[in-house]
Amino acid sequence: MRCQICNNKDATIHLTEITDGVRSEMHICEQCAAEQGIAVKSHIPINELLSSLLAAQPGDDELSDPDELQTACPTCGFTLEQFRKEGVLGCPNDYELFAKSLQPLIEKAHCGKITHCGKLPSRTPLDTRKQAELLSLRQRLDAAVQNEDYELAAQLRDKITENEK
Amino acid sequence: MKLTDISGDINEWFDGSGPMSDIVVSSRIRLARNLAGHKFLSRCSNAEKSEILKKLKNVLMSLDLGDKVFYVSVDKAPALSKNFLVERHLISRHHAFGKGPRGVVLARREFFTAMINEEDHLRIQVLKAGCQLSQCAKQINEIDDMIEQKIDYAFSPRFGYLTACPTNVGTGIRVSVMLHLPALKMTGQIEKFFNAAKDMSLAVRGLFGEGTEAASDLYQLSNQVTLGVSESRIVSQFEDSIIPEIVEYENAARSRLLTSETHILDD
Repeated sequence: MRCQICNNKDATIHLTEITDGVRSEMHICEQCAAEQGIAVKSHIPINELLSSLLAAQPGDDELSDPDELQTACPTCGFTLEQFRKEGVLGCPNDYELFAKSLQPLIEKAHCGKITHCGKLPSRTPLDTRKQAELLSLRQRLDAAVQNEDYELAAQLRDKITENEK
Repeated sequence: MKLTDISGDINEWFDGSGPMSDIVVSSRIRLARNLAGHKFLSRCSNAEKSEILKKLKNVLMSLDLGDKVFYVSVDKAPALSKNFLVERHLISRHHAFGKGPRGVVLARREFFTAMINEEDHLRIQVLKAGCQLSQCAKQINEIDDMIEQKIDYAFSPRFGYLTACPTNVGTGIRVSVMLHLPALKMTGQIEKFFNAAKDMSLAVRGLFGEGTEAASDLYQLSNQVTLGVSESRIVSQFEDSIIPEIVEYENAARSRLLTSETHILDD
């Protein structure tokens, strides 16, 4: 099909407009579309793709539960609602906290796979509890700095250093 | 050591050498990693980002890579330097024009770069000319092991290496090859290549990665699945089946252009 404007190139953009119940169609090439100021998205940004994946989990009632979406991670304050918008998680703890809601998305993104079977750290990694504890200490440190409570901030920093040893 | 010291050189991985280099221009493997006990970057204050940057920079600058290593503070670099780093495939556009404290550690010969505070705390990559994925995999694994001796990565036995975006979780590996496929394009078969890649859950991108055009018939082909399959399996899929097949199709299309479809090459 030829472009209806330049009548030269192939029409690759097909627009359907319905105004007052009257339907009209237009078939144009990319160049004419650009000249007409019609934006064409050739690539879907990853966060939009993730949002659509996360939003389209049929039958997953828990995910559509507003409370679940509003649950905030105690270590980073992140919610699933924010994940929908941003496409990235707030902290490593979110994987465990939102495991149930994230599972369908992870399955889709990784062709049905949900468990790691690749490289393992060459030495024993920090256990999950210790990782969460460090995250929590850093969260409190941020708050202390914001409140200008430098005494508490110094104590928390010492604790973090101790925990990281 | 400064960027100007390397600006006159041709990148080692782009010098046209290496196996199958008439079609496979270069091989690249990157690993996405985050530090244990830190939030992901979207939730980090600038102070925490600086702390991560300092920790990782110290570790990376102390590595023995068999080459000179230097650091560029990306957030403080002028636009010209950022564009230079992007054009040389040493950092992503996202990293160049992102926000907050961030940097890159580079090997003088440009086979290794480590972006600090891109989407994840750390993204290391190894680049080589031609089809050399096994060699890339071996080298990046050794570097990853060296880093792991000095810091703790965020890791869970269930999900593997934890990344900011769940699409990278598990191995955190992105295996990619840059392919030059002019004959498939000219003979109108490039769509078949796109469809085959899609069926195999592979991503096809333009010359400079996500969202970029495929200039000069150069395409980047990379894996999308990072969880539930081992690094070595992903690499062997590329080396044993995916790449040989594409090379065969491109060579067949090149032969046809020179024999039965010469009119396409005529001016």
